[in-house]
Amino acid sequence: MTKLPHILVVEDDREISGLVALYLRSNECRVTVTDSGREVYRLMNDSRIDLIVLDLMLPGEDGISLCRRLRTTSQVPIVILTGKGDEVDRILGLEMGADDYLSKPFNPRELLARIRAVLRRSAISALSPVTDAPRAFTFLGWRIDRVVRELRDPDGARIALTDAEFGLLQAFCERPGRILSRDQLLEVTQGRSAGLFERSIDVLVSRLRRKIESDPHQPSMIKTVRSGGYMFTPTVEIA
Amino acid sequence: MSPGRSFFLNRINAQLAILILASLLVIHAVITASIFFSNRWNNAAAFDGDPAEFVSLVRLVAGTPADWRAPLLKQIAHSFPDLKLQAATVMPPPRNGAGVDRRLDFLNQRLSPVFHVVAAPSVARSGRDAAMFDVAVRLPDGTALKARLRPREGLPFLIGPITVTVLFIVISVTLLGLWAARALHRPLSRFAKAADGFDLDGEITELPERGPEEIRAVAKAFNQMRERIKKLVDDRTRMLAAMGHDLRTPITRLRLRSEFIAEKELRAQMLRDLDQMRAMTDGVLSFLRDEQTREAATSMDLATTLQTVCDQFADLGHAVTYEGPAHVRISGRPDDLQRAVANLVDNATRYGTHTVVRLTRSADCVCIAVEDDGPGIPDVRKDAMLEAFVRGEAARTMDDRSGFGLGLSIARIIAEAHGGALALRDRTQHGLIACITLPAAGLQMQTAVAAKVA
Repeated sequence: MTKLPHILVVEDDREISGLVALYLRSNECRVTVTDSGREVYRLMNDSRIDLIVLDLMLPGEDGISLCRRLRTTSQVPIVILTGKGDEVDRILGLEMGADDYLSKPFNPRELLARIRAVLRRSAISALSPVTDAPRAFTFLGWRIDRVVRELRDPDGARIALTDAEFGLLQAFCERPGRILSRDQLLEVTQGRSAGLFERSIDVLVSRLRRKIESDPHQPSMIKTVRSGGYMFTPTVEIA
Repeated sequence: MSPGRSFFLNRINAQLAILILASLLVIHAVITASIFFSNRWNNAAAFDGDPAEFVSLVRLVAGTPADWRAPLLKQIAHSFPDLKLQAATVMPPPRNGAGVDRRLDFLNQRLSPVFHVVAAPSVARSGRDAAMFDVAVRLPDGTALKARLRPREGLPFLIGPITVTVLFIVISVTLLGLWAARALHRPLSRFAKAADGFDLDGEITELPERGPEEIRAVAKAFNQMRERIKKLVDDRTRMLAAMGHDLRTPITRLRLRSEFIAEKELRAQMLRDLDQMRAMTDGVLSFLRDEQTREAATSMDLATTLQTVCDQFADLGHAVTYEGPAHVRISGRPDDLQRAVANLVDNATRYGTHTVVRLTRSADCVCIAVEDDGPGIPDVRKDAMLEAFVRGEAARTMDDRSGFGLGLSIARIIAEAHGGALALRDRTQHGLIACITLPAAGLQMQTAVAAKVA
């Protein structure tokens, strides 16, 4: 019983929070629900919280500032819920240290997938010395920004990427010069985007090559390693 | 025009009346002055031997009994010394080789045939008297009169009152016309420009309320009308946005509830309906996004955007292919352009089976053509299709995922916000081509700005 992750849902709409709790509980989570930011600290003191699902539209203290305050004292993973199109909120939330976001109305299955992915990542990072994920990486003049989720080429032009492609490139940048198997890549990119599970990593890699390689048929950045998987060869710097 | 001026003076008709009155006064003054000066000239001429005076004097002398003439001539010589009027007992012979002397025409017209006029021989004179000429007139009684005359000149007639009047009427009418044209044209072209540049999304620049009272009234009415239109649109926008926002909470609840429906078929149907509702509210909200929340234009690779859209639709099982260069750099709003193209591809996949997204660039523009092999759209419906809330089907059925029919109009708005356009064309065999054209020149210009910002 104690192994179940404990999720704190901060949401002012009681029906939504109740339904989310019901859904998460039926999917092997322990759930506590609150509708106010003030309660969060008390609940965090009372018991171990593994992850917070935070609605940014809260009465009283809004989600953004709550997120910022939580980050100063705790490393607890946070998944924020925003309204569709509220780009500013999403970016602010991620800049304030949220680990992932979902826009309303959301698919509960996707919420569950993201929660699991974030929990898995935080479990990995808890073991590894790398704590804070850097905001941006640069390689060969390219720049990938985790918060605004964009890739720019050496001339500063924005390159469009799907969520899955972005997740894959981010995974490469976090592990340059290492051979990554397809399974590993699937593992690290999972949860970044729902629907990735069925998709072949090879397709993603070829699409990514088409966008960033000067000659996609003779790739110089993402090398295929025979029998192994893929390796990202450029020198990556944290920006 | 300062607001301190009296109400009367600010009206166009008052200004016109004042102008006309003023020009009449000026004309009057000029005519009076010209008559005064030409009279003075004539007066001076009378004492210098004006032929008209001479004619009167000849008749006076001729009508005077012979024994009274001597004192009369004396008196005349005293009064008109320059005329040098003298009586002669015999008519002097005509001047030799004189031919027809035009200077005598005036005298002949008035004195012939009762009197006989000849040019008298005259000594050479210099200076002021050089133009003077001597004449002799034979009276009916046989005696003669000699006098020194000055030739009549045309100049007084040319600068005479009629010429002056006509000249000044022409000048003042021209000035009046120019003034009226300027006074009316400037505010009218301001109106035209303001009406032309009336953009609901942009900042409203007030039409300056100056000029004559009527123009100011029109400018004020125009400004108020613009504000009312903007307010009306804003109110509707807010209402639609509020609906879009508020619907999200119940949709979220329904979405969550439907997860607990045991019956698979029913749940699938419900999720489909909810997805449709979500797509609609998303469509409305992205349609209504105002300028403040719109992302900034930046340097971007349009080709990868199109590839991404094609890949996303291909992943959903549609046959969508991209044809074009691997990289095309433009300046634009990446998310907006992606949405616009996604809307067009969504449309294409709904009506056709195979979709091609073609990117071509020429010297002055880039063209994104989304080609499908569906039934196309009749020409008469093409324009209406680009308007909001209009869909291909005449009946507004909700049995598909076509939403509110906002897809094409959102694409059009995005294209126009980039200084481009969206056009619908027929494909050669069958099908439709939705074509977004973006200006390359403007985009290049923006690229420099974006690069500076970045």
